Amino acid sequence: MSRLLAYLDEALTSLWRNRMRSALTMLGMIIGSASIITVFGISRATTSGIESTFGSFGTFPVIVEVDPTQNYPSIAQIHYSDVRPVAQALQAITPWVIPQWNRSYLTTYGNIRDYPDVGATSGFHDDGLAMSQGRKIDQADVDSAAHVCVITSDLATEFFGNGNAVGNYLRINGGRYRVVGVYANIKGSFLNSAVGSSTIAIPYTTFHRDVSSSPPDFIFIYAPNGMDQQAGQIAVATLQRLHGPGAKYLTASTSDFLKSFENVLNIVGTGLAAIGGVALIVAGIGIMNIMLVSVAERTREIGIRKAVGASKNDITLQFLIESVVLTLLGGGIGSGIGLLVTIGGVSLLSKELGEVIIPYALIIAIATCFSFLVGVAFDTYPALRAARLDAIEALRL
Amino acid sequence: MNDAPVIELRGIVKIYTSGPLELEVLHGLNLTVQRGEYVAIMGPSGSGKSTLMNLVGCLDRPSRGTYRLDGVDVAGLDDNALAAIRLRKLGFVFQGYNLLGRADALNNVALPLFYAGLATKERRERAMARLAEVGLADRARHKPSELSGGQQQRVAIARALANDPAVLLADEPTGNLDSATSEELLELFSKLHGNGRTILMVTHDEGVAAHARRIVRLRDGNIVADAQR
Ligand SMILES: Nc1ncnc2c1ncn2[C@@H]1O[C@H](COP(=O)(O)OP(=O)(O)O)[C@@H](O)[C@H]1O
Ligand SMILES: [Mg+2]
Repeated sequence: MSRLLAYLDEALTSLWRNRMRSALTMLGMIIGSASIITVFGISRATTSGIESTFGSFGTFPVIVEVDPTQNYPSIAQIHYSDVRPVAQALQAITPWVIPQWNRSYLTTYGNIRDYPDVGATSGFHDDGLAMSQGRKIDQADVDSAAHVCVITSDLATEFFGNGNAVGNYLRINGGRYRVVGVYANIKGSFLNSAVGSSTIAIPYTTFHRDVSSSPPDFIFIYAPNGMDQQAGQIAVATLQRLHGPGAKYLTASTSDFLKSFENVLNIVGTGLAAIGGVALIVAGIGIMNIMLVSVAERTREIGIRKAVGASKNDITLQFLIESVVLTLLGGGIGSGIGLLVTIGGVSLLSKELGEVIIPYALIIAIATCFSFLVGVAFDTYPALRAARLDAIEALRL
Repeated sequence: MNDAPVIELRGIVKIYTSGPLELEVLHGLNLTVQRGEYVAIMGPSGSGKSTLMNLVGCLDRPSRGTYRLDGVDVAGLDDNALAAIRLRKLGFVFQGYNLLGRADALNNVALPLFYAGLATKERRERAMARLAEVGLADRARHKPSELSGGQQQRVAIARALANDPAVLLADEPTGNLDSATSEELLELFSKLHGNGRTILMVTHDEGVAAHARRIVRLRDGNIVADAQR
């Protein structure tokens, strides 16, 4: 160990004696590792940001709707009464099957008027959404078709300012609804704007009885993990039993979509990291080239060292340590730069993406391993060449 | 063990091959050097003096013949073992000094001590002592470029002595020096010899050889004379 430290000392001294060349050698390494770390860091951070954004949005249903491209869509029209048989068919998989509408209605509080989206909720499944005030719609609300609602925080601010929203009454499509809860903001403006941040949720029973007698636009099925596809198939089969085999339906699974979205992000990230890897290999070849030049330039020095008693192993080790010190230093500086760029880029992205995690430990581990490997891989040949030099020939120069 | 010769060459042949050409440079030399001797090897240019020194210095292997150094049969050793022999038992001084240009005198002298595995502090102390021995204690922090030729050669001698070798080998050590400086350097060799060092020195200069106690003459790869003085 102390022997290794002595070699390190000797290597550092030698690198310092040739500091100009050492710095130039490191440059390729700095650029290579800075780019790989930047690309890797930002892509990982982006993925984590998108995951956490979707995570804060709650659980996702399988959505069943009428295929609008069929010849007679009206045959396939989903009725409120279809929900019960579909739910029965899905009993073994999930109890959470509800009708859903995609409507907006005039909503007022005193003089304040707006047309927010009004959606139905079951009250019996955990939608995973956080609340900033009050409670969610519960089973009792659904059973009694109560006139209660939960609103998004944007709507709460719009109608009630910064005060307490819970306990106030909103007039929705003519009916009077008591606000029982306010959703917390979804993390990240990216999804908030995609989904719409002014939404009112009321019990689906209430929606059907008092808001709109029109048939539901969708059936939402909240299936356990990995069951989305099966649940969708059973629902469609049941609907076709009711409406005839010619009726066509579309199913969309958000979590499937999310998974493929994540996959795409991972592939893109891996691809970009691979490009960074190519940059590192180029840097490695640069290092090999410079080390070969260095060996040629230091032929006399190597001859002297050998004449004085250095063995082949001594010379090999010395050159390897020199290049590993160079690549670790270059890789370290480059990773530092890459990390700074990542932090900068992520701070820009986090406004869009919400909670973003930078995998520091992973980045440092990868940078260290890669730098070490590049140093060893690309300097073995020059180091062996140095070790094989004939001392007499080397000294004759 | 102590009575055994330091150097014992028997039937040493050296053949250089380059492609199809073979050139026999040494034709079966026998040479024995006892501990404490001061030997000059003389001969015209091209007679094989350097070739002989490289063999004795374990920088090269003979094509035929046996070589015992300090009681060890060197002929059969591999590269790493030869390196260890060079490190522990031999000190080489060259005509062209061969110092590391970017390292100061102290670090040049400390180089063999590094390969011998000494700790930094010990290296510095030993190197300093060696520099004092050659009269350059006050030049320890000077780079070779800041030293005269004679001073550089003294640093080289201090380096050769660093690991307390069995033999000090010098190939034309005064070849690059003016006569006054040569004289000073030869005085240093005589002093080292007086301290019990075994010295083997190559020269083509009779005046230089006159400082040695024994002169071995080479001609075309044969020893033609070997005389004590
Ligand atoms: N590596 C080599 N390959 C071929 N011939 C060599 C080599 N080294 C030396 N010689 C030849 O061997 C002979 C002796 O050389 P050398 O030992 O250097 O002589 P000296 O030192 O006495 O001047 C010369 O003819 C030289 O050309
Ligand atoms: Mg010569």
